[in-house]
Amino acid sequence: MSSPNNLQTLNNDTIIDLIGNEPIKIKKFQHEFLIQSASSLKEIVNYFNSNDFFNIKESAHFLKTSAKAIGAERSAYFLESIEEQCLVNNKPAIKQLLIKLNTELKAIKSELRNEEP
Amino acid sequence: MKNHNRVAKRHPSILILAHKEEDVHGVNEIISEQTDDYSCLIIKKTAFEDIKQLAPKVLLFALSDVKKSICMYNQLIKRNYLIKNHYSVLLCSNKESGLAFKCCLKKLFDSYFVFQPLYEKFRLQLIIFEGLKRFDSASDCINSLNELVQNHDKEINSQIELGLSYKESLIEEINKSRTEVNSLNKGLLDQLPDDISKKLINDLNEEHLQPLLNALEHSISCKLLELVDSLKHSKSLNNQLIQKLEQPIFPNKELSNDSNLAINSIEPELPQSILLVEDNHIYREMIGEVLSSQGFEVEQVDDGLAAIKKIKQHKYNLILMDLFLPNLDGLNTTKHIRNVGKNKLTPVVALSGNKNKQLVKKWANHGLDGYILKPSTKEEILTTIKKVLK
Repeated sequence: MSSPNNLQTLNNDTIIDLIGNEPIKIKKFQHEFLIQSASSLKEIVNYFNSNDFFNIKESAHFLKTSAKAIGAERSAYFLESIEEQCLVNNKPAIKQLLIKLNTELKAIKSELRNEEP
Repeated sequence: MKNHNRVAKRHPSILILAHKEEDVHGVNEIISEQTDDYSCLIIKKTAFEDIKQLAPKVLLFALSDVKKSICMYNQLIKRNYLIKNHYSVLLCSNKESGLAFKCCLKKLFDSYFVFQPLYEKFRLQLIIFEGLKRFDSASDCINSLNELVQNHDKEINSQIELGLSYKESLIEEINKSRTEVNSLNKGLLDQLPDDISKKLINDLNEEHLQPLLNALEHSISCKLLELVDSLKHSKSLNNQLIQKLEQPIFPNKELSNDSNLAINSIEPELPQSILLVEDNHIYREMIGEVLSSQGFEVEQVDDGLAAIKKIKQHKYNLILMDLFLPNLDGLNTTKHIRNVGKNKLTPVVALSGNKNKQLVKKWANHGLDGYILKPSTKEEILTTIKKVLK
């Protein structure tokens, strides 16, 4: 992943390539991702407030797996960047990435809402 | 935010020594969660005199490198500026951890801690606690440490308490038996006619009976720790068993007319079983569905320890496993699979991100048979699995 500008908020082809073109299952997994990301983000913010860089990295890595799987390319990019910044304890950079990630997760939510009939 | 001024307390129990305040920002935060009785001293010309006046009990040397920390500590000891039974901790970067370990092995420092990068928060708090214990000033810390860890799973907490009570009662029993053996020996000694026989019994006791009792105590302690571990996983195993019982007998198999004919003539082939080990439940479910749709029988677990439980009970045709797992990672779980149980020869396929190629390479040396890059496509996943199963 080189730059977030070339990436999509939600690339549906990724999940179709993974589980097949099954709209009901895709909706289910996307909905589960929204729930998982909300709780993971909360967890990451708590670790951030206590300077627990190891656990920030662990939680970011965990969420990155499902972000990649549902095709949330920009979110996965920010999560991977958070992992990298955790290795050098760069708290200001992590803060900026968390803000971007939060915005991106909101964008996914709104994109999914717009897709609803 | 706590006040990290140079002399924040007149006689703080804990003193952190550093060249720059930003170097120890994280360390300060961690210690401040544990106690207020600490200060941070930024090294200047007056440092030696300041340290002498502060008279800390626990000193953390977090200078820019280990060599500078050793030099400073040597000077402090040489000039007799520290209290006699102080507790010294060397803070170092990861690349200097070997040197720090050597310093502790030689007993120059009492302990060391890698603070760059700063990962093991609780270990630092444990080191501070050990240091304060030397001065009987650790009771406040116990409460604060308890508060820090009290958010953990209630079930695990109760299992730990249960394990500890088992351990205490067994140690009590061992001590009782030891007292009985000693009194029995004493009785025998009293009855013996001469000193030579008494000496023989004493030697026998010291050289054979006591080591045996110590070994027994150690062995029981180890077994208890294993018991606590297995209890921790009993709940998740029960849940998996219930899930398994609720599944239909032939999931995902729709028989066509043609296959009905085939069943009349030959025995039905058993589905190939796959153990899927992945902590992210969304991705795990996705892969599980991909595999089930192809007629594989899939069992799912979310960490390495649960996988080890499974491999002890069942033989699988293939194990598909994530690299980063809670409790025990993919690499160490594979090492275990290759050494113990029914799956020594079962192929293991790694699920891994693009960034972990070096780790996958290392993993390959311990018996990895293939790997799938996350997230991958259905086709790539099935091709890899079918290739390995051939």
